[in-house]
Amino acid sequence: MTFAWLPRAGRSLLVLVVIAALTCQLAVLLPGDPALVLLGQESTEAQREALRHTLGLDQNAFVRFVSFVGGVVTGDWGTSFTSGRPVLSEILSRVPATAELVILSQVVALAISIPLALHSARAVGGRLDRIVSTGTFLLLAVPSFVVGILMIQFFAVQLGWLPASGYTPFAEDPAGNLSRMVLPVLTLGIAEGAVYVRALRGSAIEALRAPYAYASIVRGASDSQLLWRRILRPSSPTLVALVAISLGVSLGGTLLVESLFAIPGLGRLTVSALGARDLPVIQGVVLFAAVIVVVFGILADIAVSRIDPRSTRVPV
Amino acid sequence: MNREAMKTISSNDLILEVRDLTATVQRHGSERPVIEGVTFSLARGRSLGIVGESGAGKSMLIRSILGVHPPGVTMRVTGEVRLDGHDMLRLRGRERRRALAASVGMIHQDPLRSLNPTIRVGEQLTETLAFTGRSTRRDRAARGVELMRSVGFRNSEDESRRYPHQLSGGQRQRIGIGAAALTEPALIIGDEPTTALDVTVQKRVLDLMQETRERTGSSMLLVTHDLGVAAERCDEIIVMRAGRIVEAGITAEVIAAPSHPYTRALLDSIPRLDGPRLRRLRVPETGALS
Repeated sequence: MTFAWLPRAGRSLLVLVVIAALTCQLAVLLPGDPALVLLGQESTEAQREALRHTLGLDQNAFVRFVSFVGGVVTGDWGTSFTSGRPVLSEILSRVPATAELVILSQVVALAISIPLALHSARAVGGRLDRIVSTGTFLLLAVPSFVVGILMIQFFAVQLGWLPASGYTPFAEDPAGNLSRMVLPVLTLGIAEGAVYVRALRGSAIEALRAPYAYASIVRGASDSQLLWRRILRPSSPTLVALVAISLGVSLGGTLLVESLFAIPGLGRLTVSALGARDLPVIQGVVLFAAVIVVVFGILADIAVSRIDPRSTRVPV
Repeated sequence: MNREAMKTISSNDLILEVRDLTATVQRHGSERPVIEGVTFSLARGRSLGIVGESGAGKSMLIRSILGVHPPGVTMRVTGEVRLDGHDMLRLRGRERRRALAASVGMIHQDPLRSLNPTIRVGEQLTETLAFTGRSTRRDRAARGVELMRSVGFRNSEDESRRYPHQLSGGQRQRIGIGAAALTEPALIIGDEPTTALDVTVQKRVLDLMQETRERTGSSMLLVTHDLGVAAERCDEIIVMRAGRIVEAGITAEVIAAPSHPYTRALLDSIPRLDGPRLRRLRVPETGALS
């Protein structure tokens, strides 16, 4: 049993503490009297006083931090100003939609990008490679919601094959759920896939130049054997790290795509909480996203150390 | 004598026949020759050293014979290459891969970089079987353990499950030799197999190559910049410079009476305990070479 993971765990904890400290000071960081800002000019002094107490503004920053962290740890993330429901259950109710969207789009992104990246790396400068390079640059240059709008226009409005927006829980109506997911999943998947193609193509070109690729070809490897069984693994650490970052970031909410396709996920919860100045919800969403990013960062480190045996002895 | 009979004789006697081989690299519309009009042959069971300084085209010659070009480089190869009866410049796809796997075993220059860092050595040693034939994982594992024992690994059972970075330089090159012997190929090619190794390990690796070759009955092409190594290990020698053969012959004759000034310069560059110390390779004027 080694304790090589301890420094990594310590750093993750530090990140979470810093984010918690910043989030619980959000109320103070707003310009002016937060109670006045949140309640408006028409509020009475008694109402404002009550709000200051709820937010802990009548106490010093350290006490506020301790009680905030204590609440988070015990599952009391505060109460939404707008809905009056607990923040934690507000957040958890939005997780399924976002998680489904994000996980499916990652599957699509990888399914498209890995074969394209490997085969264009095998024939650098060839026709496929030129098409793929131009295509990915184009996709990287265009924001994903533009792709989304074009897809809605084409597949939903003109062809009428798929619904343009909305969300039905999978448990209620599987077919309706999936048909509504196709366009947002493609929109997000294509955007992510473009990034993955560029990353994996670069590493695969490098791996193909290595003498071990030459050795495998002389030993009779076909193109697909070479690429899938000998090149993919040594080229994938960068890709895996990117996927983990992307999963972590987008599971915290994909603002644009969720808004565009009217999917009730974390991204839309964040947007509406910001609009309504629903401070407890904003704090909760920020902290939740941070926890996910940190968790996926750790998962990425573990995955990379599994892929490249040389890195197993290095403490992550 | 009819053609059929001629083919039988030539494929029996000669493992490798290279005739008027020319290779050009094409880049941005222009062509640059890297191999020009190279002709030589290698008989069954014999060994041939290809000698020359770096950039002489030795590795390119091997790549052109095998038809495995550097990635991203467009090459045009003309002439004729007959390897163990296969017309290498005309074979395509599956046939070419099978010919390579069955007839060629290759030992590469850099033992670490020529092993895939993410694959266990036992699996790499036997990958030819996985690529070209029907074989089970269990059979390959057993074959790998056996081959590793034959190239001097004592705990080959455990060692076959290691990754390349867990072995020493000499051990890695022994893996390379084991892999080259796997199919008992007609031709073993060593592309600077000892250049990246310690002087003390070099001799052991060369001895092991020789043993392996005797066991499998293979011919050998030994590419090296070290004329001393080639003289010691090869029956015949080819000296290359700037993509051409400048001298060829039986080793003893080439060493005793080098006809080309470049060969003489190479001979003089072999360090000797009793000789004068030269700092640089003394090369005659280029005009004398062409």
